[in-house]
Amino acid sequence: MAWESDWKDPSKGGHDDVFVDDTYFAFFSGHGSMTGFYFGIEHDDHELSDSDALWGNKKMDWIAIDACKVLRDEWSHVTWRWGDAFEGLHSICGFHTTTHDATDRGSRFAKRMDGTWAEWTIIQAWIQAAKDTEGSDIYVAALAADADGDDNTYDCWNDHIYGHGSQVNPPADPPFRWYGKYQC
Amino acid sequence: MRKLVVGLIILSLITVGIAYTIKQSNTEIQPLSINNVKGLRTTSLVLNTTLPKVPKKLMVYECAEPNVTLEYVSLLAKRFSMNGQPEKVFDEFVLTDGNYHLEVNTKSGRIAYTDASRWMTGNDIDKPSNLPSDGEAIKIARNYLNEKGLMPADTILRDVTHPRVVAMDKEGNVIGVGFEDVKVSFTRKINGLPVVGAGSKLDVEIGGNGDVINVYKVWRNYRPYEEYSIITPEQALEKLKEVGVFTGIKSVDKAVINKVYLGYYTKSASEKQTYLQPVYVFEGCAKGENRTEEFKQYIPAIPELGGIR
Repeated sequence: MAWESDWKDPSKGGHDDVFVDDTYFAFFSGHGSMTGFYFGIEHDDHELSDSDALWGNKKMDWIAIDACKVLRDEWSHVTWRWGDAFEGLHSICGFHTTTHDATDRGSRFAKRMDGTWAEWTIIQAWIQAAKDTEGSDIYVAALAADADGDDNTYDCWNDHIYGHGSQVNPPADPPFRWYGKYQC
Repeated sequence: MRKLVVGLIILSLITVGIAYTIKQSNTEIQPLSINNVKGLRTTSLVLNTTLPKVPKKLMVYECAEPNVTLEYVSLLAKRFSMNGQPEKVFDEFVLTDGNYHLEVNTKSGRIAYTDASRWMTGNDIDKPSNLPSDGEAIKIARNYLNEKGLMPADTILRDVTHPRVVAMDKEGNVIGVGFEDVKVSFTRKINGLPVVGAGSKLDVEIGGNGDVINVYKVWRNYRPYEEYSIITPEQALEKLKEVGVFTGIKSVDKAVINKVYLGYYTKSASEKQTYLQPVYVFEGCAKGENRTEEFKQYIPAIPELGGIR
């Protein structure tokens, strides 16, 4: 059972430096909303909100949040909400809309990254895993760091996991972010 | 004479009993389980529409077993001009030939063909200025599916959309486009009702220069099985009030139901489906936290055959 504090930076009162930010790739599955995602135990509290998130300042490169609406692009823009979470982080995979419980989404995601089925980019693999498991009323989404300020290079949007293709290291404060949503 | 009549009656009852038992064993249907939304539950519902008139009974359909063999996948690969030997890995037949990737799912028969060097990646070809118009894209999609033998007879054009990857500044302004294609999507009806859920899709994505960069087809064949009594819309609404509506809003004031209709529920591309069963679909808008959000919730129309997971 995960705790909210495991996903929160020490500067915000958590200790993700010895939990999720001590890994290259984190995956969360549970409830979510536009402002964050939720834990069953109140420790520190139930919600990891966008203002709690600061990832990649130790190790984390990628995070997938298999929960409703965390990457919704609406009046409160996705880059405004989650932009400050990027502190070395390459990308966040999530959903623009609600999503459903799907027991095999995580494994299908992994199999198209690690060469079991393919060696696609992380974001391609995420989109296809969502497409396999959701109806066409659901939109999957991703947010990735730009590294060089040039919108003719696609930097972390095209990242692969280590050992299965290329990836780009972004600065702690990326010039801008790449965002895409896709109707499943 | 009386003994003969009694004997005949007993014999008739035994015959009917045996026939009923055989019939019962034939009508065992796997329960319909519908994946739940991962959002936050509310039971504060308001009906803002009239409930539909529905028949007392509806047909349940039996799905044809997808016959996904190495020979079949090899034939498909040839149609996509791909070389190499497909390989079965878990529930997929897989073939990668350079940039092109083909998967055929053994449980659903789902076909996924992708140009992995372009689809949903930032690249210099799939840009707005290189794309065909929506009308041209529809023609390209139809011709492509017909050429490859992948166009079912019962397709209905659903919509044309433009998946995009954009460069965004911190205020949410779009400052560049890294990828865009034209996605032509088809749907179908069964028994005059829409097909809902994850398992009925036919999409063709056309990128720069009119190239087809992604095809995704999950389209189960089916045949009539048996008619079943369905619950009324009123009963379905009562059930929905028990189950609740799930959204991404933390504290919903009320969830307003704007549309109620029947449809056939299809499971996802990675699941085996034996029967197609009717469900009530409730669509509406949840209001709370100074914002609104659309929802869609399913209630099985034949409750004895399944429920929400």
